[in-house]
Amino acid sequence: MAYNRMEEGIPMSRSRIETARYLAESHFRVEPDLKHVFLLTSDREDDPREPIKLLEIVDFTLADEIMPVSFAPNPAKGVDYPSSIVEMSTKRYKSLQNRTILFRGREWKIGEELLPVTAGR
Amino acid sequence: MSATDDDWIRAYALQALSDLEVRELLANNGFSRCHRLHYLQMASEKVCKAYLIRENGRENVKNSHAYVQYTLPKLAQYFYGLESTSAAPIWLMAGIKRFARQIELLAPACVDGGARPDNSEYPWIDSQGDVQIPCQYPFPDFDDSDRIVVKIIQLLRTAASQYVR
Repeated sequence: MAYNRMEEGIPMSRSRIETARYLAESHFRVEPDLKHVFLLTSDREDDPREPIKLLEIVDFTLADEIMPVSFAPNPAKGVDYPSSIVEMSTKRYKSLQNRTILFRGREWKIGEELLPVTAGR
Repeated sequence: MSATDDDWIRAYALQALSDLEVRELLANNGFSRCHRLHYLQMASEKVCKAYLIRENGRENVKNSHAYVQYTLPKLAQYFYGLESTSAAPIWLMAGIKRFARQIELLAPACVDGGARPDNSEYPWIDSQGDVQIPCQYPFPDFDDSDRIVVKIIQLLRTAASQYVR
């Protein structure tokens, strides 16, 4: 029998970038200290196991190193992909030389800024 | 066959759920606050580590107790963000950050540079030079019936359950 997401009350599928924007928007709603969210990309973005990676900029963070927090896919909430959140202070973000994060042998490029829907209104 | 990250993540999440069950039993049977807090601290630490293992590696997170204050608010941000289309009340995230710090400090190894020797597990010497015993200590900064703590326990269950499916 065909699986019908709508009948199950599950939101329609989103693409990776739509999911990234959805997650960023949901984070802005909850976290008043969140200043900016950027998409991070690696050379493994075509791998379905590769998480959506968000770089979240806050004025102050407890993490003195890059420490991603990783989430499983959550289809019941409209998130079909794994995701990882990297938190970074504004000061450290501004000191980055080439918009690249090196982390345990991986290289993540800082890409598109994901703005809250209220931006520019 | 060696254990994978997924094996460890699931194991940490399952053990955290068990810790929360024990906390519930202790709370329902009148045990000292220190024991309830001890199980809350252990469950919190395991859930937070489960969410750190995939990218950071178990070897890099297994030995520290100091991840709750950083990770728990990120879990709140993710799960509360997906729960509602309206903004979360300001008191909620502020309260979760405050209690995340208090939970982390319940671990004996986390003493905030010596300023917070109080913990839920081992006796300590207070600033007056007296021995304090967890089972007789009132933990005045930590009311585990506070609505924020109730929300944190629900959040820990939700987060752990995501990784045991």
